[in-house]
Amino acid sequence: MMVEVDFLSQLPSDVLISILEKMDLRDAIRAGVLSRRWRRLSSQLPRLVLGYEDFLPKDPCTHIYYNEDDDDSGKEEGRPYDAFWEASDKMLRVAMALLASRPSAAAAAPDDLIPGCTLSMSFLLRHNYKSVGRLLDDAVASGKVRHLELQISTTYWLYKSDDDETYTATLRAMLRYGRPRLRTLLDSCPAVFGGLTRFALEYTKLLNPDELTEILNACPKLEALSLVFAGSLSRGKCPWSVRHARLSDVSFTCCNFYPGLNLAWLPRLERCTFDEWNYYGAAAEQNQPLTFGHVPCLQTLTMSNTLRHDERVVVLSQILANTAVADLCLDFNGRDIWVKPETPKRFNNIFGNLQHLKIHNVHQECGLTWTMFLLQAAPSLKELCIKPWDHECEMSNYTPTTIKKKNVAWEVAADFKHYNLTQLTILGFYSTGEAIVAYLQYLAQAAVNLQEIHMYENEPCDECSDTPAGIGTTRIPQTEKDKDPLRESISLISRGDDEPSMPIKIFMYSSSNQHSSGTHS
Amino acid sequence: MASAGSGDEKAAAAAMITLISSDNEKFEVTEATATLSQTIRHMIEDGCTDGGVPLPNVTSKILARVIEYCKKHATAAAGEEGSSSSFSDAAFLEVDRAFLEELEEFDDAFLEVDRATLFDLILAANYLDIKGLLNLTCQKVADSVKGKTPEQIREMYNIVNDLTPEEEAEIRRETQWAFE
Repeated sequence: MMVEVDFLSQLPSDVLISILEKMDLRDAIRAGVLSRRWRRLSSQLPRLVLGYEDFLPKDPCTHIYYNEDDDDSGKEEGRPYDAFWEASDKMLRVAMALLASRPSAAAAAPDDLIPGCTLSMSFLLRHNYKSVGRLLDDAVASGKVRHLELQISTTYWLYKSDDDETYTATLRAMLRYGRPRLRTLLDSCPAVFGGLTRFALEYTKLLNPDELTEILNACPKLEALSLVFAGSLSRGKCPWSVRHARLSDVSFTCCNFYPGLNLAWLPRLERCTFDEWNYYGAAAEQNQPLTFGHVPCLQTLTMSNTLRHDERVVVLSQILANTAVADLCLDFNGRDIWVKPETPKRFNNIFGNLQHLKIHNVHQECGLTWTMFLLQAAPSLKELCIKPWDHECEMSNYTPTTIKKKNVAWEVAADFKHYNLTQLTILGFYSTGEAIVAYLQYLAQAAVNLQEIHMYENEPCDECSDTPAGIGTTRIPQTEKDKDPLRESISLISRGDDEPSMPIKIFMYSSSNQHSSGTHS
Repeated sequence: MASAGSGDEKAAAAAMITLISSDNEKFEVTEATATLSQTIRHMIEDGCTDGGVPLPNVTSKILARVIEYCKKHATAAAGEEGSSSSFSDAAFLEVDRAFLEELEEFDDAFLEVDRATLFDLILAANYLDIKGLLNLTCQKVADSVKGKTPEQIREMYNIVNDLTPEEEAEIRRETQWAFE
């Protein structure tokens, strides 16, 4: 029998490492027993990803959680079964074994490729949080880990029930053990925070703005920060001010920063996401939930909200003062329009750089006319994407939508023209196409250089088992023959007499047939 | 101005580069196709592609496959640029699904090769610095050992075990969690 060649081992080490990186962590570590060379390679993985989720039982029904609210002892005895307790312990054991097998920076062989790895880890502030903290602190201090990416959470998110008592109990737990435990880590593990490049803090309330400042000051290398349910539970007096030299990505979801969050000095900030903010009572109109200071690199801002907050709307010209974003996304989640339409004057060239605008999940009853205020304020806009809200399913846990701001009013001068908009995308239709078609006709008339309109059918919903009423009927025309009248009704719009208007190319895509060419029968 | 600019771009896109395989076969490709290779891109930038680019590490058989990959993916890249879209959120990605699916099918079919060819492709992708192709081929190898025992992997790839039984037992002890 012919001896076959060991093709694999002929590959250079960096290629073999990138093969190992594409494996599941267990497979990559198991490869360490193949041979001497593989042993060395597998202990040099440049990036280790560990999450407690990977150590939970496969069946989510067995994810039993024992409320640690009243038990900080960490005692095993008499403790009811708790899947999260066990998963936390397993992960800690694995993390210890993994880090033990890695050479420390001082002991690294000269031909080792990477002196320190990136460790990405998610863990719960449970009974063993101090051991996790110590392990990570040593790993960073010894140079085994150069960059640390942490997602720290409490088990608050486990409660999706409507049960008020459980809700209150978990909120208390978030404060009662989440915050002090984070505090302990902050005080006892300086290397952990010093090595953090990405940090996500979830379901762990902070006390006040100073606490956030303290965390940020402890993380000089931080590039991405994400806070989820991590603002304060109580109302504060001073605005939350964020200053950091390195941060390029920030994301805030369901955080209460009353009376407001001010991204005061973030010279490298490029992307900002601000979701589900809460007003917590009325404040003066000039008091916006989010404001910016020095953010010269900010390109992308995404804002999304489903909360209903009566008459409170945000004033974009105030939020975005001091910025020059190129890409803006507003998601209304099928609720009231929470931006206040403003005259272009108020924007004073804030939108001078805005090229891409996405407006998502606008409820049919709110109409689309109001979006024109954004076009008027953004003369450089090149690309507009509108996604109509099609149905309610994801929100089934909430009370049904009641739209108060029906047909949000906005008057546009009849002769308004937009000269830079070239591409328009419509992701889905309402239950009747008329509102969209009227809007398209209007835009086709106003945007004299519009070149392409792309229309997509509503995506089938992943969440719903059965198709909700309305979606099945919201179809764009299925055959070329039926598409033509729609095309004509838009493209035959007169676009002014003085301009030689270019024909608009209209592409329609249906979900059954993804190609714009359509099917001829 | 605008028309002159786009004219230049067209001229650049149509510029042809000659690649020469180790067995001296010549392949004419567009610059857009060739520059998927960072190695060739740098050569073009340094102006040393006149008279063809010799690739002494790549046979004509492999180079033909590599070019096939680059042609397909260069068209893809051009399409993305052409739409000038900066939207990157999930909702917008959905709309390019058909196109991505087609590309995925191409990639799957492309990987239907014997093991020797696969490794030659990896070496070529590494030498020519074609990120997409290197990722694709390395992923194929990574997937092939998924869930396999070390013994099975050694057999699959003829890997010689040069560890003493004691050393192997030691490593297994240290990494026991991965075998559970």
